[in-house]
Amino acid sequence: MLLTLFTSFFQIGLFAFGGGYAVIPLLLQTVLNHAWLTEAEFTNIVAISQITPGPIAINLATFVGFRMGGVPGSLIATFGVCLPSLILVTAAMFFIAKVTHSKLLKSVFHGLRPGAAGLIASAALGMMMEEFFFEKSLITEAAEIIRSLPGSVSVFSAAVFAISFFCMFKIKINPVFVILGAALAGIAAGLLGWLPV
Amino acid sequence: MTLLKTLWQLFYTFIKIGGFTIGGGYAMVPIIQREAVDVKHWATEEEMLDIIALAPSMPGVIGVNTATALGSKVAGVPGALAATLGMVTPSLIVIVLIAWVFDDFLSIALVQQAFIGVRAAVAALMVSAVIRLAKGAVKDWFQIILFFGALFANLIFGVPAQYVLISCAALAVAAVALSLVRLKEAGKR
Repeated sequence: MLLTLFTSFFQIGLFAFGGGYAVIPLLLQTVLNHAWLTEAEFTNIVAISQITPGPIAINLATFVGFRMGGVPGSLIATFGVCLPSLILVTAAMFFIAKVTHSKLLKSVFHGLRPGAAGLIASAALGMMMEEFFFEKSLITEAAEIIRSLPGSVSVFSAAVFAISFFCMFKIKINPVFVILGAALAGIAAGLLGWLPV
Repeated sequence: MTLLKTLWQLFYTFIKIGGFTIGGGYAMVPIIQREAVDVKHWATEEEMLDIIALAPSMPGVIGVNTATALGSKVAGVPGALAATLGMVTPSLIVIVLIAWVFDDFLSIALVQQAFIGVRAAVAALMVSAVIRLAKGAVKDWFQIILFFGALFANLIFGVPAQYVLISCAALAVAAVALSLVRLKEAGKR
């Protein structure tokens, strides 16, 4: 188990180009393939990682590692995700001028950046489908929406999604407060009996 | 003993930065910059700019990469280790404590309802992250193709993320080599 954790997180660390959010699609794919977590559990953990101090990717690795193998698991996962960049960055520091001006590296990144953004978009859409429509096939999706209107999780989630997006993207409110606000909205909706839980 | 003292300084500085910065890498870089250049005099302004340019060109977390690079500059491999360790220690402690009680916490009905709201907000967070990233990363026709190619290959056809990234990099190298795409000079994100 610990070895699987280490190799999985080493791979994630090696392919995470573009900062912390780039870890999310890679990690989502890993936890779903191994059946370590469901998509909803994973999304909960992303929220926790965002509102606690520290880099989001390290928080995610620690959390998933702990879930799978306790404290040793969390240490192994965090070490695994850091190791590739630890090796590469330390090596790159010896010829930093060449690295930052290399044309080959620039062309590689010309392709990697849109690729990484596309993967994050894919993870985001996957999460949205899971939250709003429960099922990923288009027909069941449509049926579900019609059946669940009004007063359902889908409608509530879609509303929270739209308001959160507006707050973060247009008004630039700190995501930490947006997530906390969404939690309060969930509690309020629950108390009003809008949610099935 | 000066090496040990330097290593402790690195470790301690990055524990502080890792422990008190909420929201990840981009929020950390200016704080690291100020601490390293103005307070600790570990690097000149130019050296720091080189490090900040290097950090996103490497895989991994940008905040951690910046710490690793700075540690390596100040005290070689031990320095890189000390700085990285400092950066991840607060996460390890805080997250393990949270993960410990999380399942019990989540069995409360009120909390489950709170998290229905939270998950919708996370989806919104991801979408705004994509838009922010895409502004810097999707600038010419070639990058538009790669963005949607990566999105559909992963979402619809389930192509693993690693293969998507390797293909994007290979296509870009080929396109630049064949002069189908011209690299812009300002290589900033």
